[in-house]
Amino acid sequence: MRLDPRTKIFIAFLFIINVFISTGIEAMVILFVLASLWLCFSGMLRKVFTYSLVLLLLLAFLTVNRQLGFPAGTAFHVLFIIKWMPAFMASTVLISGTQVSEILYALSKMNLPQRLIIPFAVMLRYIPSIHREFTYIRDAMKIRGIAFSPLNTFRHPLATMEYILVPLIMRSSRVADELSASVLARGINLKQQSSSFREISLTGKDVFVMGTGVMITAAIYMFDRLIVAGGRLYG
Amino acid sequence: MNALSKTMTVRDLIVVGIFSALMLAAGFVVWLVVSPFQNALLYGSVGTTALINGAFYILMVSKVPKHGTLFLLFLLEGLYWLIAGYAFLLPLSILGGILCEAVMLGGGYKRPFQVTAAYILHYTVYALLIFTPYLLFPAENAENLRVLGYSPEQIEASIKVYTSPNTIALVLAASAGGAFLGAVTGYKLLAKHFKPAGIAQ
Repeated sequence: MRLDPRTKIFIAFLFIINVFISTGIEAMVILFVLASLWLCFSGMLRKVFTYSLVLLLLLAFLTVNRQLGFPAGTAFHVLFIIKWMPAFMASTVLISGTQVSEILYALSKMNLPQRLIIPFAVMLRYIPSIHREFTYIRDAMKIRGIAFSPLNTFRHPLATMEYILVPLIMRSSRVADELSASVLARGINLKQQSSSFREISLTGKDVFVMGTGVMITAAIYMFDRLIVAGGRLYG
Repeated sequence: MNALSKTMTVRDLIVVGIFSALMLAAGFVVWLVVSPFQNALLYGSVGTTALINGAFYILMVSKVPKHGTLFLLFLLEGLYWLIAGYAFLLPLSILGGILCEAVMLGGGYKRPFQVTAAYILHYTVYALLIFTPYLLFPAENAENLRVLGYSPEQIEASIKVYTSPNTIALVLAASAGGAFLGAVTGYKLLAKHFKPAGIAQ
């Protein structure tokens, strides 16, 4: 089902609010399940498996950390990731599941300044591409007989850094030039209101999804406050 | 868009967007590698990130030497943290952006000394964020640790480390040192690779 990018932004913010106001482990579990459903709904089943695997690894780390009595600071950071994971998952739907042009158009419809919209949309869409660029660089290093391994990195940290950073920056700089030419050719610096190739507008489906999101947020808040924070589960 | 061309062009905005993404990604990778190690996370994560990001930062500033670049960089980072769920980092990022722009006043974008000073300030501000949960949200922080199953003694020890002025000073010094080395490395790479390749002036 195709949704307006503004609906995805709204749902991502609802997850942030939910994570922020929830204090109990039960609410965290419910939010993780809801975020997984939201990813499935957006056709990102593989991401659900990835996030579930990461969650299991982090929980295993916490268990080992506690059993061995390591300092609590690290555990706190890991808990922080677990707690905010549902918000990150909802952001994935926005970042990976939406075209730059759609995000740009939706944000401009929200009357946000272009000076903020353009770099923000570019940043969001470039983050997932960095891994691909890094893979190309690693392959090129392999072809030239330079292995990218933990041992090599440890033995020659500055050289390894240079081998990776220089081509990455060169490539990114070229991407910036190509992208600028592309968006300028499409008339981004014109004063007139731009249009979108795909029709983007809030429909009944968007209203239904946003309304359901608001109701779920209220339900989780009440569940968290009345049952968990009330002391029955932790008391 | 009409006001845009007076200061930053569309190309400038795209460059800042792409280099912000690179800096965020590098920070995430460093954090992922060192997070299982308590001391490395505490003392080395921000400094190492600053060391790596120096090249991105110096090239970005040399490509877009205009007022507003650093504020935009901070704002984008803050917005990214906002949608990633760390809402409290946005106001701190905005504050960091204002401070860095103040350092760059008087043609600072063309002067390596001011560019380096702003970069050191950038990562000193971010180093302070490590202590935010302990200093600004002590009750929630202690409750989270309690839920995790840590004993009151362990929680107390953790709070003692993270609120100690010595620890804070050491972390800030390590971050500033990493940022200084990062800026120096960035300028060396600029002279060795990027200027000859024609992608920076």
